[in-house]
Amino acid sequence: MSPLLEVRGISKQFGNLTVLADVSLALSTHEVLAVVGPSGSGKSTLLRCINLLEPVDDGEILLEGVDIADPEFDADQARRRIGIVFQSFNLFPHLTVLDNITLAPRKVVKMSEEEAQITAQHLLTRFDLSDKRDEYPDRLSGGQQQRVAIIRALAMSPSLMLFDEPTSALDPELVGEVLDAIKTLAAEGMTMIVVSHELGFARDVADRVLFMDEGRVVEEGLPDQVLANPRTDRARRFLRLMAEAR
Amino acid sequence: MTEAEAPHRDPGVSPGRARRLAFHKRQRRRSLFIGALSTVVVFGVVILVVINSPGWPTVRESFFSWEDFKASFPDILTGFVRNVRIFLIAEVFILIVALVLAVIRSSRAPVLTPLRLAATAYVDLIRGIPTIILLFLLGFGVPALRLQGVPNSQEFWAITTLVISYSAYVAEVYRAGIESVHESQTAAARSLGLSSAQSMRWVVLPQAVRRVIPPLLNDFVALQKDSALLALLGVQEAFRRSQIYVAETFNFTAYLAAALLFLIVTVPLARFTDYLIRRQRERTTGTSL
Repeated sequence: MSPLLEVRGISKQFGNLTVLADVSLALSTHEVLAVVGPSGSGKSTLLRCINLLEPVDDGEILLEGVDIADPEFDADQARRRIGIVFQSFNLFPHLTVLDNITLAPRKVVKMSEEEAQITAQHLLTRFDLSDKRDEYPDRLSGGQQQRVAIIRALAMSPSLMLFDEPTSALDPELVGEVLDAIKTLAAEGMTMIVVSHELGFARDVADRVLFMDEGRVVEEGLPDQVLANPRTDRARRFLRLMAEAR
Repeated sequence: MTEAEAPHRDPGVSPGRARRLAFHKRQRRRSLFIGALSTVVVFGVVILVVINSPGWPTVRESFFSWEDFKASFPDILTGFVRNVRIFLIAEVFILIVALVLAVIRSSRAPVLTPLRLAATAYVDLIRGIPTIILLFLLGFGVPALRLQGVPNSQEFWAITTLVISYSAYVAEVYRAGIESVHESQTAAARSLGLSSAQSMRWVVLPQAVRRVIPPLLNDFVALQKDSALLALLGVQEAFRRSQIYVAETFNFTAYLAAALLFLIVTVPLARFTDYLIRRQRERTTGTSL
């Protein structure tokens, strides 16, 4: 079976700084890939490139066999099939929870207001947030905001979900509820890439782990292998530091 | 602090808290007193100096004549209704034209490049020309061309001048608002599949406009005052009416009457603006994440 997503040798520079150097990866449907690595290793940029929020300098990004990174390809078309959840939630502060969720379905795929609301209500109930539907984002806790952000992305029925350090901006006691939501999604078979510093979580949820450093994929394999018995020095050093920090 | 003291106090307020409250109350009373005293002293001195100046009797006669105030007021008031009307008409167009200019200047679409250059040039040029010169150029120049189908009314050109001039300023206010919306908002909108135009319309603009309401109101205050410039084209508004009265009687009280009418509109507007700014600041510092 051909992979849902195949990244072939993408690179990205910001000025003189090489952020991604010849990165490749493949992801099958229902697969969960965790991306770990030190700050500045290019993990977030990788996600932003896959979502076409940043144009790549070189390489191909095949989504269901079509190169969406081709400059000729309509990026809006690709983005609606790939959901992304940001570190800082990025909810729309002027809209209620419900409107945050229904905006894209209504404007992008021209779903009727009722239909969009039914979908939203269904998702809100599933993630235990239906009592918050008419609140504005600044009235919610960070964990609730991030779960709304997940729902907002899910409302477009994406075939792939990207998580960019979804719990890094949260107070420690709120991390669990967001990780649980992501676990639920994984259990339901959502295909996703999760960039996270929560190594325990990566180990639990991911089918495969990718270790990045300085814009390159340094190591890739099963979670137990990469996170417990890394082959490279760099990965070993990083994991030791992470373990000490705990 | 001891148990013996406790029964004498309000049961809900601890002794330490009560002492603090009393202290703050004393402080508040003191600053109120100082504020009132210095106001009275400063204004008292100014009034005394003015009243004791050698020219005061003449000035009182020609600027503060109750008789002339009464006589000129109805006429000026009729003129002022015109000021308000001009202001309201101009404002609607300014808000629309300026928004269009700001969106064009903020957009990065290559198709809009010529428009963007034009909008930038427009804003630069118009902000560089004194409104009064623009008023003369359009108000006297265009009607003199005697073009077919182009309105000759001075009021039309006067309003057009205000729209042209103020749109440039208001466009910059809008643009500042658009740029103050963090790019992560656009990223979130685009990531959901919204086009850049849709992101602007549904995500950026609603937030930008809300943020710039206070500075916009500030410009409204200025516009309301500048409607008096129309007198220079002979439009029969409040200032023009008062000029006529002054020319007939050689008494300047009519100017004061006109000024008073402007204040009745602009002062509440300015207070309201301040109130909005304060509320916005409280919001952003109070509950922001």
